Amino acid sequence: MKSGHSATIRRRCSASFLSPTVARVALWVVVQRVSSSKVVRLLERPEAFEKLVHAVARGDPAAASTLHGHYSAHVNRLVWRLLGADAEHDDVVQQTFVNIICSMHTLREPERLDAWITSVTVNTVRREIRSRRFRRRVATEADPAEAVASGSDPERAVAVRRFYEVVARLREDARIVFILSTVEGYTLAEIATATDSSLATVKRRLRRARSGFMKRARQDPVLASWMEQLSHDG
Amino acid sequence: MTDERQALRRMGREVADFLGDGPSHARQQRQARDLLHAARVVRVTPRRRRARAVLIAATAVAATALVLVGGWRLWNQRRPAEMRFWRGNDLQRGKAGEWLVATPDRSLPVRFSDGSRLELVGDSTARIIEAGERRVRVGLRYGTLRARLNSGHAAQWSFAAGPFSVRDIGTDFTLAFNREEDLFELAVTEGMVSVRGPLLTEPGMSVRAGERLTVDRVERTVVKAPAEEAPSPEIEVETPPQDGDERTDGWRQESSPGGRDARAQPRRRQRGRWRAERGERSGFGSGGSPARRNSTSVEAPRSTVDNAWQPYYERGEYAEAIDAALAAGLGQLLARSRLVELWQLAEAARYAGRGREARDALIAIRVRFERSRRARVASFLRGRVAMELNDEPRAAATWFATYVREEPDGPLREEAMGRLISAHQRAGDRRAARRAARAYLDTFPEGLFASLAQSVLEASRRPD
Repeated sequence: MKSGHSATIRRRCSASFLSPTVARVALWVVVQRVSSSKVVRLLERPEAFEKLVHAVARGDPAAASTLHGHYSAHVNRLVWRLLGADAEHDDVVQQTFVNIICSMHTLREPERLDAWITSVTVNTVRREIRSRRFRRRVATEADPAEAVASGSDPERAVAVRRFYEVVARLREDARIVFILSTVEGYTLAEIATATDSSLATVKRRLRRARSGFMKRARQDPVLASWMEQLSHDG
Repeated sequence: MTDERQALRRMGREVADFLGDGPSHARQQRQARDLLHAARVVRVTPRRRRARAVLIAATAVAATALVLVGGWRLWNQRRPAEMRFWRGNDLQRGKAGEWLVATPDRSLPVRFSDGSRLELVGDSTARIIEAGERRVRVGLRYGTLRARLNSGHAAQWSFAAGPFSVRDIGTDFTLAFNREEDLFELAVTEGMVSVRGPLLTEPGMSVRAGERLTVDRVERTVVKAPAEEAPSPEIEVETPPQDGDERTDGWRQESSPGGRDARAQPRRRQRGRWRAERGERSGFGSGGSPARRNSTSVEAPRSTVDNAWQPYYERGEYAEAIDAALAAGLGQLLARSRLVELWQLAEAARYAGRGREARDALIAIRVRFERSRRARVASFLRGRVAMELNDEPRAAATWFATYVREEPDGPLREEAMGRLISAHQRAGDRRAARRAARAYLDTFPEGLFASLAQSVLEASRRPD
């Protein structure tokens, strides 16, 4: 991890971490297997949420590690798909967890931990996209085919890359809503929760995003051909 | 929901399937270690925190601004020009995604704005999948392609031929792929390229100038040798049927004595001698796919049927090609055309969305050229046509299963087994879908259709 992230923690964190007592182990959490569903519910009892949240807010490194272990798959998946197997995926995930840990003390309803983590992840990605726009970087720097199995279909890899290149031209709010709906399959209500927006706002952004994407996809030969092929599927 | 919205939703699912659920578990564990390390930082006292934060932030902003301005100027200076290309001797402006076709008697040059040049030789089909500022991707569907690349350009070139990919580091090479015979060949004249694909044990096998790589997936051999040490195996020439000859035994052996039943002879696979010396027009003798090189010397005389549809096909105007074929009499074309023409007709009909004509052309291939490799691929394509154009999932399932049975090691096996799951699902045959899903995961646990197969099995575990 880059040293910049340590500096980021120092700069942004309102909590501080106590280093010496790293031997404290969180025994009061039961670890479940991470499923592939959108949000993972790992803690069986409401009081377990509260204990974890308070421990992290106090700066307990073991609690932070436990939190990471529980939510790593979910955060990784969300960032992976929002940015499209990006070259800086690991850094964005790290920043997300820094943000989660540093702002844990603001979470008033520990039982909403799952939804809150999704929301922090989405906000982190939004800020990342905005900062890249300022720096004029192409959002998808890595080739998706290089990020997944080496036996992947090269034509599909190109098509997926083009997909993200077109998506990158949308405004960040529209882009996020579009990916959450189209790729992640979130409902409108789930998107509204994840993006801290009203349902009406989500609908408006999604309509604009779809229209913007389709207009550009029709002009792109790779995406147009893919769309045509999918249209023929019964 | 509109068709477009449905297509978009499917696209989203395919993107999700392709990307998977994130990076590897090992990578996520590294993230955890890094985070824990970062968490053990020196405590910052509240009294000094604000002043330090302001100072750090101000310094960071100033430094970032300097870096950004410098980087932006440097990037603008170095940014390569957009890649344009022209095809044919008449230099028609090319468009990424369109098919490029060279016929047996006419090669097709493709010139790029950076001075690079490709040439499709003999009976070959390819397309420029992407022609961007930083990256050019070429897909060779089958046949032979000669590349001379301008090494001064900043764009990264890569070539796909079936399951093989070639990344350019060098500048002059010839690439050939025979889809039916599952044979890949590459000869480098100048520079070096890196090849990835089945049977290649080292990731990114390098092939240098003066070397030739041959990968035969059927025989399961990989040969890398100096170009001048080309093996010259005995070649038993198989002749294509003459016009009007619709014998279902497919190819007839030239050397068989009169009256002898060709079916009594084992069918031999051809190997073309490779000649990749500089100046040779093609890497496979007279061009075309590797195993068909020698067939040009005994090729059947040109068909006498009306091939007015072919120019439309070559321009990628597939609907017009089928209309022209119908006007000329599709039945006659299907009865008298050569295998390669039938294949093109089937392709044109598929791309034009004409399910009935596509099905008829594929049937003709299966009946008239039963023993050819293309007949087996036609089974797979019939499955796709049935599923995607004719909305016949049961028929599609039958054809995908036929391909898997006839080509247990074929290049399309994974896709056929994956699509078989979808076909059974759509036909409402849950039991068959589960069987197909299990068979798929047993063979391709991390394949492209693994998530579909898993979802079918998970759905079967949930109570209705």
